[in-house]
Amino acid sequence: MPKTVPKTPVKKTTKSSLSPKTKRPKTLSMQTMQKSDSFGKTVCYLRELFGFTKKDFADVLNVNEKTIRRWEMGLTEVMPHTSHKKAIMTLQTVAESLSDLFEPDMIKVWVDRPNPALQGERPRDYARKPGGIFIMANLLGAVGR
Amino acid sequence: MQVNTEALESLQSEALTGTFYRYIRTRYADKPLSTNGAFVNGGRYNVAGSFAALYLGFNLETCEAEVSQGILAGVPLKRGAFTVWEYEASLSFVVRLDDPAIQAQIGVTDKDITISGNHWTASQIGE
Repeated sequence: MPKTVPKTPVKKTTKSSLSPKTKRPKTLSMQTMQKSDSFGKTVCYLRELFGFTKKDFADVLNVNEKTIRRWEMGLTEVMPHTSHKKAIMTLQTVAESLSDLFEPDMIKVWVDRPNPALQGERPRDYARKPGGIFIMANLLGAVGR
Repeated sequence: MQVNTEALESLQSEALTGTFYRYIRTRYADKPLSTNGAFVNGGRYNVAGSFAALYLGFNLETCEAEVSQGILAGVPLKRGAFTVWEYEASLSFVVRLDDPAIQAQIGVTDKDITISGNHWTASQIGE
């Protein structure tokens, strides 16, 4: 089976914006994401933090599952739209709040627990609703601030 | 629930002095009087970006309930997630929305203003 070769050259950066030494994900500006392949790394980090499958995460971002796979591989044949970048930045603020409040294993518990503030839905499901991640970001952002 | 906003204008207020508490996320604990988080994200009585609010509790139990029973869904918190601040405050104009007589005047119930995840009624009062 021949190896899949990207149709367009992939620009690689020498330094990831998510260094392993960094405790929290840095908030990436849209400009930074556009210029580097860190967008894919951020997508992968957030997806794994929330325990989403690629299919789940594709639903959250309203893209094809293949697109998620390509982004995570650093391929930018399908460039992330501004709306995708906004969604990722919003998920980063959600991740930041959750990291302030819970240990990593409890974040996954939170994602799967029916939530009274989300009409009894699990955050995992609520994230797929239009505007769901933005509402979650606001509700979490207001806790203890 | 549609609040009787006309009645809001003429509600009786009272002065209140005492000790109040606030659970602040430890990351922001060095700014105990900051209302920036409430302004940016909104809260029960204030819509995001509309005006700022400082949320305090009469006791620690109330603060704990407010943070743990809402969006956090009772999931065990990380050690040191919150820092508790205690405030001595003297407030001049306080409308006691926990008073059934006041609730009746504006047409709301306890449930309307304390329900988790639905701040519609409370935010109308705040506005």
